[in-house]
Amino acid sequence: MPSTHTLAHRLIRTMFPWFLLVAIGLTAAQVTVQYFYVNTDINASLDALCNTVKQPVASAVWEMDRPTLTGLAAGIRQNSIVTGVRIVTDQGEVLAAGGQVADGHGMAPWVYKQKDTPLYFKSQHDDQELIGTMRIDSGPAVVWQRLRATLVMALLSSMVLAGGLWLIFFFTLRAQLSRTVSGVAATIAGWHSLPLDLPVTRIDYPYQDELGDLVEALNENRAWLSASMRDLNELNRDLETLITERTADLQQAKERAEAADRIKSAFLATMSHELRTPLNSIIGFTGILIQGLVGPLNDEQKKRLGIVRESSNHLLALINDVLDISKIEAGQLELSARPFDLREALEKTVQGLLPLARQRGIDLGLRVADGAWGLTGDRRRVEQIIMNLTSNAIKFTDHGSVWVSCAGDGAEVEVRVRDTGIGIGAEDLGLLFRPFRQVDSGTTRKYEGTGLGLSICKRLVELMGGRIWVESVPGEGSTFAFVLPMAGRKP
Amino acid sequence: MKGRVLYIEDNEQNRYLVSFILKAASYHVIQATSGEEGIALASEQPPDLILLDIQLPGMDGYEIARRLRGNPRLQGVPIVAVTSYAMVGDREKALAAGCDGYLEKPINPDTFLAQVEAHTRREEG
Repeated sequence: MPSTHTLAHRLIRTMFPWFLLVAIGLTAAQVTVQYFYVNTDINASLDALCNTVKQPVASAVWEMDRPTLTGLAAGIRQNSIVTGVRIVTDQGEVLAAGGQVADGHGMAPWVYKQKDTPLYFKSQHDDQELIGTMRIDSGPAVVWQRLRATLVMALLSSMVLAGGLWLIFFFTLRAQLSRTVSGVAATIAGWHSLPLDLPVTRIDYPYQDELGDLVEALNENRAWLSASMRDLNELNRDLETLITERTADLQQAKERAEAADRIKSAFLATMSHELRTPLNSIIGFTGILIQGLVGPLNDEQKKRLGIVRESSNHLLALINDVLDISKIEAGQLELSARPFDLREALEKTVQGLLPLARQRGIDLGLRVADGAWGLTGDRRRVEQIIMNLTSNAIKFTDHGSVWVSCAGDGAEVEVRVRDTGIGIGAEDLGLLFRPFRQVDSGTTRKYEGTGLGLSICKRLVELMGGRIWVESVPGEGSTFAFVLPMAGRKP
Repeated sequence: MKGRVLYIEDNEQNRYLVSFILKAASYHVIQATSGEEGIALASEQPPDLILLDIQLPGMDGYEIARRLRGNPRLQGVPIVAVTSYAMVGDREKALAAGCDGYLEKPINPDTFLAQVEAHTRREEG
């Protein structure tokens, strides 16, 4: 027996109770009709029997012939529809009896039949005189006996019909429905083994019924799916082509950018070399002349050569600043990270600027708090920042002093350069650290400089993981300060 | 005579300037205009100090320094790079190639001699 999880089984399980109900109803109807028929038949037979025997019984009662009455009662009792007979006189005396006779009238009439026949003596004058009563019973057993065959036949035929129908339904449904549905399922399962975008065998179903609609819908759905998949694949291929093209474009752009970077680096190196070579001669020979190595100079000659040296040094500072900012902009400025003593760096830088301060007629001082000032970083660049801030302070201070101080908390170190110079207006404070800015164009002429120094300082401090700022009161002075992490820039 | 200094430099003005300063300070200066010439002169008679320009036509200063260091007779001779390159890692590259020191151009006439003497003194010591 195949699996019970089939459509045929399910349909039959659904249908069978209804079928059973109808069969039971039909059987009941048949039995009911038969019952009425049997009832009528028994009544008619009882009437006929009573009419046949009442005359001989009445004669025997009149003659009080007991043996005859007993024989008659036994004869009546032998009739198949009779369950009991009793013959009594009008005085109530039982003259003869057989079987079981019910008394009273409590019996249901559709189950129990009882017939009382009055017995008369007919005289010569045709007068009728009641002499007794003959009671004949026909019980439910008789009715049941008559109905039993009908009921059994009806039930048997219902059962045969049910079983037959079951088999016919089952095999027909299985052949027509289950097999078709299984076939469809097998075809669909076959689809799975093929790529979605390939056209596949359509499900074949020759009839135009509901299953046909379902199969057609499935076929159309699969065709639509294949078409969609083909579109999707095409789109995918286009996308891949696009990605490949874009990747190639990006690769090219990257190579161009790298080439541009290499050109920029080469340009910076070349410019650095080409600009320094003539300066080497100018600064070198001016130095030789001023040192008097070539011959003695008069004051006027010394003054003029001094101007040449100042201008050359200014030009060198400009070149260095421009190269620095270019390197920073190109991301090519690399900072070393070696331990050094900040106190030494400060002392060396301030020492180097003492001649300039003396020349400007102002005091230059250094205050370093007691303690260890070991820093990790790029000493040359830190010196460059201190040098820049301090020389700026000296340049912009006409009277008074410039103080460089240093304090720290073990994690960070703060260097402050305080002057008693002209100060800076609040509106100009924000512009200070931008490239090519001096506070106003007039100051550029008065205080020579590139205007790049503070911008470079800011970038360097930031590259070192620190910060730089300025506090100023116009007319009273300015304080430039920067903070650096003592352990160097955090990675 | 303080000592013999070999100066390898292609720029004539630079050669003249450095020679002048060194001669004025009583150094004997031997000049070479290319790496090949400098290596030949150094091998012939090892000097007390070699000043080496880095940007030279043909063989560059790094290569010259490596070749000089390859000669066992020149093992103890200090080599100082004098260069206007001043780009990222130049100093490290020069030191890696075998130089003992590094001077940036333009040279400062006020401090140049002191820097040269620091290297020759170290040689003596």
